[in-house]
Amino acid sequence: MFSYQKRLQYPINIKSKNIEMAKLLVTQYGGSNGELSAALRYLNQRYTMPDDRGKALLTDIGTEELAHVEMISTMIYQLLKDATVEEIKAAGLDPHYAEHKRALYPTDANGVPFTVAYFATTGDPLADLSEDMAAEEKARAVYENLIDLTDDEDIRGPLLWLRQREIVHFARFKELYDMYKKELKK
Amino acid sequence: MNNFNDFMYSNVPGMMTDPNMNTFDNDFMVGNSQNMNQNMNQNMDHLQLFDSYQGYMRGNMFQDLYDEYKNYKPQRLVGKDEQQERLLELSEVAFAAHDLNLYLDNFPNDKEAIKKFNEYRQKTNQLMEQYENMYGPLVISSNSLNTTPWAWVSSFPWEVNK
Repeated sequence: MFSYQKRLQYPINIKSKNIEMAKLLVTQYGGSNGELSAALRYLNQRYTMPDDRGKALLTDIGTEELAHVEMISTMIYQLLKDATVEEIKAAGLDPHYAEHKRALYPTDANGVPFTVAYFATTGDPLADLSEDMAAEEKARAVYENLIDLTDDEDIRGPLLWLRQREIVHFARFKELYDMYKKELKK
Repeated sequence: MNNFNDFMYSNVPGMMTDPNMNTFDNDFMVGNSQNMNQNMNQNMDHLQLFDSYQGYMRGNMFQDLYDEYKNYKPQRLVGKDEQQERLLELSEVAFAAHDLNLYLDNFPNDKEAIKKFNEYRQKTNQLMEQYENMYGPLVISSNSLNTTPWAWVSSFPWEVNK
């Protein structure tokens, strides 16, 4: 089961609204390489990992990704909270406003809604862990794109931090992949 | 882009420095690379760990895995009040324990890492209890939930901390 801790894994305190950035950041919530996709991918794949190392790692990284969903969601919420309708229109977020007002909705940066088609499960631990490694690298790349697109340190700080988590997760998945690759052949 | 992420590298030989760097607090300063080794690093035989403060700022406890993007330094986190400072302290050790947790999932026989994990776990539990007694519950199992009104309903982490 899961329980909630009423704190962010890393603090988010965005002082200036920024509708344009909210529109872009949302891809790390509901885009193909985003945190929601990561959480569901790992939490779904963990059941059929071949031993307890894999079950533990996918459970723990999948759970951390839920904390990252919360961080990204918090950023979007804070960026949009005080936006006027005029500002929302000017940023091209009026279609979002029509459907959701200032509420959050998991889409990519083009407004395409989240879908579980963004991830796979094959039941083959090497294939699944390869996907997980690729997912971490793609998320890292998207974080770098987003870091390039902002000069607000309240936004950039958490993005740098989240990018670093992708690097650690990639390394852990790769370690496990390499161990399984050797051991499962025997 | 020069007034952020500036807290740790300024006098370290060979590290990138920022000519427009602002002044910063002494307790964040690193005088030279020897001090850096003593203060920042924790040498386990096989694992080079940052301490929990440096690791948390970076989002990475493992020195060999740390990989900077361009020349961006980690954001310097400073609590605006006592409560935020206490929450940061708790978050640091909780993060350190978590990053070791992920490592240990892959290497469950690493005694040194288990010892380190348990140091951070105990510290986390201790700081969590202290925080909750002062500022209210973070988890539903908290001893601080025996008051009226029901303390769980206040204060959510996505609201801006003024």
